[in-house]
Amino acid sequence: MKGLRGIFIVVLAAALVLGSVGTVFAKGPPSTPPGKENAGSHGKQGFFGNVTAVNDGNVSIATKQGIVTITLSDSAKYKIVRVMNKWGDLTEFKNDLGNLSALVGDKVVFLAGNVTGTLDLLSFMVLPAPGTQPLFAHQTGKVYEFNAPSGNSTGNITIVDVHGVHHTFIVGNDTIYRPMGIGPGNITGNVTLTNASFVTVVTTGNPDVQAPPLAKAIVLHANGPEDWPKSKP
Amino acid sequence: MRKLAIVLIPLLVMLMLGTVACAGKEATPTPSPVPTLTSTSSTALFLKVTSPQNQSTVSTASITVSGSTIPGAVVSVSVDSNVVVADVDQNGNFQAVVTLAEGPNFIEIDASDPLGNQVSTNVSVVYAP
Repeated sequence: MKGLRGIFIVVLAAALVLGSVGTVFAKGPPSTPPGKENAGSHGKQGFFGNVTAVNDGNVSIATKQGIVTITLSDSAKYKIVRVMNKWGDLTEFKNDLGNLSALVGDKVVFLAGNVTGTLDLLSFMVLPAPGTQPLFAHQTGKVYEFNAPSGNSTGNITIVDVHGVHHTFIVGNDTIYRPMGIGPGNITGNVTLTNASFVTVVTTGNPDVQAPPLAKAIVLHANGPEDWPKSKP
Repeated sequence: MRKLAIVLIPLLVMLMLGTVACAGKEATPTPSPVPTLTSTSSTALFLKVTSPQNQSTVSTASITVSGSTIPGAVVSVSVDSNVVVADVDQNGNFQAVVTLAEGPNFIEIDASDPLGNQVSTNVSVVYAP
């Protein structure tokens, strides 16, 4: 009986060891060759990385494919997300940047394509630094006043937040009106938000850009929190 | 008993070695969305984006942004100046379909709870048709 137990334990041990060895040597699916993992179907390729050097309009970027050097050309389009949340040409890009060497250390994303036999830059985006303010903000509160847009005239909405502070936003014809749990729709003159309706306004995060800020979306809650409102701090 | 110990001791040693080897062979972590701002007094509100993966390249213009947050949260997904309010189910899972432009796209995802706390994150993807 003891001998049988011994054999059993030895077999079990062998199985466990083989299993461990198998795990150690197991590898995932074969990796795609470097430089090919982000390729589009027409030779266009996306890159993500950090700018390491700028030299006479040539920008070197440390990517997972290695150091990639591209030339900033007039034919490409450019965007700095925090500075101009729109695409512009090289002149606008340089003006907004001030100095091309300011790019060093920035996180960038770009699309390049094999247009002329070399890797040509098509579009180039500078990402916001980690920890910077988001582009959009949410403001939640009860409706104090609402005037729907009419014709070409914008409307406005004023809400009172949990601390009793009033916030006013412009309401445009393209402001999204979205009751919670129901499909999206655009606000119209027929929409009525009654006083004390509980809403969240999605707006641009930078109040300096436009005052009052534009309501990109108004989300109507079914009901507010039970402990609403709290006392003003 | 002594024979049993002779068999068991090497077995335990081999098991420990196997565990250590496995621990050192963990998969390379996948890139995760980069949190940009968290300004909340509530510990309950969270925002996790599961798709698309940060720093990925897609071949279709229309993609679904999905993830999870707390039930009852408002989630907005923005690309450029376009904002989409996401569908959030009773479990806090959300999704929104957004349209990308060719090239780099910066997608910001914001979530807020009824008390006005907000968390934000973002993902960068390249649309290469």
